[in-house]
Amino acid sequence: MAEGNPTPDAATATRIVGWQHPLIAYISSAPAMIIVAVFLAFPVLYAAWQSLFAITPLSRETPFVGFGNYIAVFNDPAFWSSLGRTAIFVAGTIALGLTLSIIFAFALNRIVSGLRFIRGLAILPYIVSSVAAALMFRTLFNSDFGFPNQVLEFLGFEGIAWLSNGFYAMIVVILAQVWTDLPLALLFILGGLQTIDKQLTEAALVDGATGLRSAIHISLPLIVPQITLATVWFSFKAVTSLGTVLALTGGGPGDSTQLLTLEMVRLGFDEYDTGTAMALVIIIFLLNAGLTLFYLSLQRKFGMK
Amino acid sequence: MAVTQDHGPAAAAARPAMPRTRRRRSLLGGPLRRAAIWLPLAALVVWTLGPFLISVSVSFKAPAQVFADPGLIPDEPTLDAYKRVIDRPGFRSALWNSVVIGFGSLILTLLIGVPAAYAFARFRFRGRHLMLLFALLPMLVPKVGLMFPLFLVAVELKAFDSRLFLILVFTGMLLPLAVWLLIGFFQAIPRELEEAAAVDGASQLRMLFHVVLPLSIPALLTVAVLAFREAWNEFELVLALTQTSASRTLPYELYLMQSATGIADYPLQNAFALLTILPLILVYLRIERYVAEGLLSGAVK
Amino acid sequence: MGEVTFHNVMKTYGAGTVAVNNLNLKIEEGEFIVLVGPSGCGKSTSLRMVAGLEEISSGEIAINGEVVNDLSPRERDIAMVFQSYALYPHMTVEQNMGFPLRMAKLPASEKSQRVSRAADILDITNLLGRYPRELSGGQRQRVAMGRAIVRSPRVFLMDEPLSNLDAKLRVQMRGEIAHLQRELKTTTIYVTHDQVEAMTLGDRVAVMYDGVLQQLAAPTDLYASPETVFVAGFIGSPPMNLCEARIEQGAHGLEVRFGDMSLTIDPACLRKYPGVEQSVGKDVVLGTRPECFFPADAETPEGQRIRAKVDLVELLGAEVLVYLESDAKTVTAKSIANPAAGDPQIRSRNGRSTSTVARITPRSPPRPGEVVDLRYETDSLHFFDLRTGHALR
Repeated sequence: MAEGNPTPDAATATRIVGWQHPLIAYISSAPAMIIVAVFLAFPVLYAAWQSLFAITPLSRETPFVGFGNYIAVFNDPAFWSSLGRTAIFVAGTIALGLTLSIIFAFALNRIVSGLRFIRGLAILPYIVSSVAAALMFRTLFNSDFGFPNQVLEFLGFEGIAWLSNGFYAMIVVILAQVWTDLPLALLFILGGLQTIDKQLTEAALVDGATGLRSAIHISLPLIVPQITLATVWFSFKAVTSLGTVLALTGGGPGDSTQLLTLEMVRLGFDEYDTGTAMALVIIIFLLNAGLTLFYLSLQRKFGMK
Repeated sequence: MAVTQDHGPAAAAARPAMPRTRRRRSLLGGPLRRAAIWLPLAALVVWTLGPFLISVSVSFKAPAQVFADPGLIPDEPTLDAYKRVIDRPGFRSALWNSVVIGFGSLILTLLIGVPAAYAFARFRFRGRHLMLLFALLPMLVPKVGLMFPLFLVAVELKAFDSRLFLILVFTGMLLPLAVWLLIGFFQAIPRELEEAAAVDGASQLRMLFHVVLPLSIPALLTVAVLAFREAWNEFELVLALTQTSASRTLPYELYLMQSATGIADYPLQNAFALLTILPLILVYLRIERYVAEGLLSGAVK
Repeated sequence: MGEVTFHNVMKTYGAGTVAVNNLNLKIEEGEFIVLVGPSGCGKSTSLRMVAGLEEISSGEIAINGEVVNDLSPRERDIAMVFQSYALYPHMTVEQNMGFPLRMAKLPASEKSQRVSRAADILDITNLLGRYPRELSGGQRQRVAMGRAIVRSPRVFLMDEPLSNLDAKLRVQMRGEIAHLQRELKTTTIYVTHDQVEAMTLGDRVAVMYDGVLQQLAAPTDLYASPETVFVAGFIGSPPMNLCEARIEQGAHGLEVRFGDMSLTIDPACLRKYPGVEQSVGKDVVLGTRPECFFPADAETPEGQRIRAKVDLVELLGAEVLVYLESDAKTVTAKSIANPAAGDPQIRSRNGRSTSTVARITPRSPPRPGEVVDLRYETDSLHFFDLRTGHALR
């Protein structure tokens, strides 16, 4: 019944005679293409286009300014300070997130009974919205009755004014961000560990490695792709994080957690400076893409050759 | 029975005398190694459940109690906060909006995503790769970046503050991931099954409904759950595209209520937050395996 | 160099699954011993217990007299070749081979010296810079061997190291492993399910079945005098014919009657199986080797002559396998251990048993349905107890 090249590979799969007319394929994929085009592709291009115009609510004129909006952004000290805070936020999220997800994944990989249960628990934060997570962390880190301060006071230290101190507020924001994004990263890394041939780690043990050295020399290098994926994930979520920070600190205290995304919302929705906000949108896109490429190049450098 | 008896015949013939020399216990084999596994696992459980527990604890207290009684287990547990949440008109309308938009997005995503994914998985046609790229690449577009452009589009189309527009936007947001996951699942179905159905005289549509879809129920469930979760939890786009209680969903309502009540009413806020999470937890508990494995299969490829 | 001793070693999983049942075994220094048996017989588990990859439920394993039950693998000074070779994919051949030395914190100069010496022995010096995925199956196998020999361990453990190679390469590597072991004189425990590997490689072969050591003997003894029905049916290709038979007093001495055939028992056989004389009038298990059948001629004495109808003929080239119809019931180790487990008979078209196969080199192959006259070498009869499956010694 088949014609053409009978390889089982999906990319060159055979087709049943008289069945799979290309027209059917076009018709069935058209709605998806249209929706994606209208609601995803068009807005991105539209943003890029609009970022070249000076659009303010005060005038009906929208003069073409080329890269003027970008130059305005780069000349704005508020941009650079929010970029710096975003850098701290992203780096902190990646560092804490990767450390925790690697440690947790290695531990999970060692158990058989109870694995499904604990893994199921660990995914729970994934189903919590960013606003709800922020609210839970606000409650958790309340300086009067919050749990961390209770522990500190129990140990004889003074409680910390978590959310009214810029430094600590950044820590809480990072913790909340990692909390919501950890489940998926944990799944990536655990999945990587579980695809490692068990004989490899056994061979390492027989070859004289301790459990720790086998983890460092054998398992970790083999899951570099999954670690990269987790890094991209944490980075993407942190660079584009809005709800968590907005609901947790609103950028404060002062502007100590005013990230790029919050700056973008302020420009667009509070100051109605649409052109500049669009320039910021594009900058966030490019930042994301640049960082992702950077992680991938790191992987190529340190991963398997 | 003797062949499987305790002693093979050879055992009796040559039983070596066992020299008794030193016998030591490896330190690492014992409690230390077990601690190296269980300590991180305990930390994982505390890390995951801690915020939930505190939130639940606070939600069962009266506002004044929160500061007076900081213990984890409330002295006088009360459902007062939950009652007040449910009595809020804002909560009720937001809940209804979330339900409508959640189910609307999930149904539309499946209706549009399944035929597209099936076409990509099984048909050869001109422009397939380019179209696939076009359908999948937007997965990399962050939603914060779409807030403004979509806001302007909505204003232009006079679709601002409309539930239908939100459903369409969320469907657009979800389609790339849905199509990606579904293509993987469809390609994993052995082609022979469809060929057998074709030989047995099934039409293309019947084949899709009687062979392919029944086999992809786990995949459809995964996609449905992911789609619903995404629509249910979405905050940024709701913030940008809605204004009134006619269309705003739970996360935005929660955000507004939190800004309005400030630090005064922690129980109310936490009860609200937990009520928004509860439906997802109930769904999730039933199909946790699909979610975990679906996410993985999507991620690892 | 080391000797390995198993003393009453048991391995049980969960609720009563016994993987290894009371294993006693002493492996001498420098000996090449092969553990062989069907899958699930406990051979790999035994090996993994020596390696320290599997806990010992009870009993003791000692290397050079030191009980190693509680030592981690790294403290046992052993090397292992895995079925999948377990080469570290992110390391070059050189790094792979050097890994055990690196873990032992050897100085770099000695490390590279020992790696290059091992590479030289195995003829893989030109591969040192490559990654495992760039190697062929046979090359990977050599690298795995190389990683095992660099550190001169007390014991080599090999877990089906050739089963991932194609048939031709397997024969070649088999020869090389035998050669290498003779040169290095390192105690080696080799696990396989392939009786040819077992017979060609082992100084001694330990046949395991259902967690129990069946017989430990040199390959020739294993073939010539199997201790149990299982060993009899496992060694040899095609394996020994095993069927129910009755010992009777005949005109020319003791006879064995199976189905409608009978043979006179050669005195040499009685010396080997003295228990036969106590079994006159009783049912026993008779073992006949397919390769001990020959076409009969006029001089063939009556007590060595078999006359039977041919059910099926398989041509192997020069030789043919002839399936003879008879009424003798087939016996297997499984049917003895568990008589209720089901009937092991393979029936002919006439519904009779085809428990006897002859491997002969006739002038012209017989046809199915034809009646053939065969001669059996009656000093190669084997007798086992019908209830215990043990040889009638």
